Amino acid sequence: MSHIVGMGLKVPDKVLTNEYFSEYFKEDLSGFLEGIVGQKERHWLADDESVVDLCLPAAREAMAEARITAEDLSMVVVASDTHEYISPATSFVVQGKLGAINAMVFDLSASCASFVTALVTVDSWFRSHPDFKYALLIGEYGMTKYVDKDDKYTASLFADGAAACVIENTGESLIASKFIADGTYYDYLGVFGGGTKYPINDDTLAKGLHKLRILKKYDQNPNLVAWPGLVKSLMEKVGEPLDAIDLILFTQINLTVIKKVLEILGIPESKSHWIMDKYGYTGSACIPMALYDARKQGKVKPGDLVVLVASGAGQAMGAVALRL
Amino acid sequence: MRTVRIAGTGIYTPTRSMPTEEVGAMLKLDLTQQIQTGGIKVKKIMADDEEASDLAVYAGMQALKNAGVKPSELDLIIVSTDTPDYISPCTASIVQHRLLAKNAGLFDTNVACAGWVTALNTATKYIMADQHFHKALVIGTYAMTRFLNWQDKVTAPTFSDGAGAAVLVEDESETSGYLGSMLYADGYYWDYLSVNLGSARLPTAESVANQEHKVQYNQNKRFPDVNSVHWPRLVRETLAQANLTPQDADMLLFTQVRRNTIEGVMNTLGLPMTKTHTVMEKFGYTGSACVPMALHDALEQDLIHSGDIVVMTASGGGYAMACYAMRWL
Repeated sequence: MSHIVGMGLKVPDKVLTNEYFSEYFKEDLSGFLEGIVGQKERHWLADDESVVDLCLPAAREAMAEARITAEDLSMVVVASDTHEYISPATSFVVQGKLGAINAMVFDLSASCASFVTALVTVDSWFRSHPDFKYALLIGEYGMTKYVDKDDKYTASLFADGAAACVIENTGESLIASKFIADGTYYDYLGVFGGGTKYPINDDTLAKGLHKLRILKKYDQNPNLVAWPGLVKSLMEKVGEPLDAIDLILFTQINLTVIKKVLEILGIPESKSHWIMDKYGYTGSACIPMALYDARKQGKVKPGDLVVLVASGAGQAMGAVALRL
Repeated sequence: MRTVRIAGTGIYTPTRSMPTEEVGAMLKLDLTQQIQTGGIKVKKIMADDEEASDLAVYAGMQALKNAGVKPSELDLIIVSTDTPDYISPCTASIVQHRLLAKNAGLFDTNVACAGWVTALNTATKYIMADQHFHKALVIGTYAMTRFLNWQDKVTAPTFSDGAGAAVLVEDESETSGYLGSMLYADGYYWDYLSVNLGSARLPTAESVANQEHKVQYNQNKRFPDVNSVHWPRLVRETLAQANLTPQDADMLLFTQVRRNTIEGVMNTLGLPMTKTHTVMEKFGYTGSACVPMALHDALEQDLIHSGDIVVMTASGGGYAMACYAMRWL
């Protein structure tokens, strides 16, 4: 099957604690940040850093564990909605700087569901290309570049990071995947300026549309509503009961919601893993970052059944089951 | 055997157009030679209140109609663009919403101007790999005039807006629809042509004044003629996967950036110009949308028939190339 044979993680050096934000906004935010969403601190890109600065070390660590060189790669895929540039794609820059001369490239964007969607996409490519031996798949997030530093809610919640996987094509596919999407939420949360609708000009800058904005609020938490059903229908496709899952990872946006979903599904918390306490919310990077951390801590072993569940604004959700 | 076929195509080209000569006059440039050899006679410009998703939705609707597929039947929507509506969420979210394609998963993919052929290939992989995927809508949308510096003598005459789409469906056929594909990329050229806006280049009042976030060529670097070198090789190697040669191909479509490049490549392959089709004359250069626009136009003109071998080859700055061959079922 598509087999993860190496992983790497990189976060920027700059650390911001809950205390920093409480002080900055002159309000105690730790009750929400630590009590509800589960965050204690997070990392931010410096002014002179960008997402490729995270992608390259994460990629090199993953390739070192996999004991391959950049020339062994057949695919370089970057999954994110926070890019190096509008064009070319971030994967071009990564491929060029790594010297992955034999690799095809593309960026895939489905907001914070990008990584899981890209994992399924890589697996689909592998099935038609037995000649493809290794893919490098990077989930990266540089959202603090777009965060309004004076917006209390988003400034304290979002963080930067990247995790990379080297995936080996071993001839069989991922066990199962499931996507659900509802584009009616396209104008709820996003970075709406900087594309073709609100191009960068004085007006867009004056209105702050080039920053991350929440334009509409959800009536109810979409993850709490959708995740239990998504996991159940995925496991029906797998043909195994819920208790066959060894590790289940969710988009790391809200620990309280993750715990509730686990409770609804009857899955013990010990079978999940979270990293928002030390890394904050890292969007399209958070799932591979959590998997990296679970591997490092010995929470998973080869052969384990792992389920990844991701949600992205817009809205797109994806779930995938794989064997480590 | 489980394979794929294109059930319908659609395009959208904006109503506003400007002859390339006029762009030249505006820039005090004589573009006669360039128009003659390159073939781009016109610039198509979307309206001020249009954006990439509008072009995508119009092309997508036409493709669905021509395919006889309802939006609710779609399992997947892939939008290929490097000119999205927003930084986030992806343009496919807006398209899914506006088409009411409520059962479709979605994502954007960016491979610059090689994007649509790569996305068509990706949709092919999804349908062939997973029996739960039956029908996909693959859209290339290009709204590059929104990133245009109208004073730039190189880019201003070149880039237009437009969209092309295809509905790709599963097929049970004795002969395979999908014949093969090749991809080639060299990220060494990542800073040759770009829209320098993103986490590495945040906008400021000063950068806006200097038009730094517009599409631009790196003035210190010039692309070698990579298309003439690699396109013939990619076509040969792709067809070889199905034990075919270029002589077996009935229609070869290429990125519509320069007509004389296409003429040179057809000559290298030993094929007559009747086996290709160009649309840059009337649609301008439309990046990730130009190959499906050429495909749609060729179908409209009855240049592709059942059983024909169709090869599509695309290049994107930075750079990446994609080649895809199919038997028209």
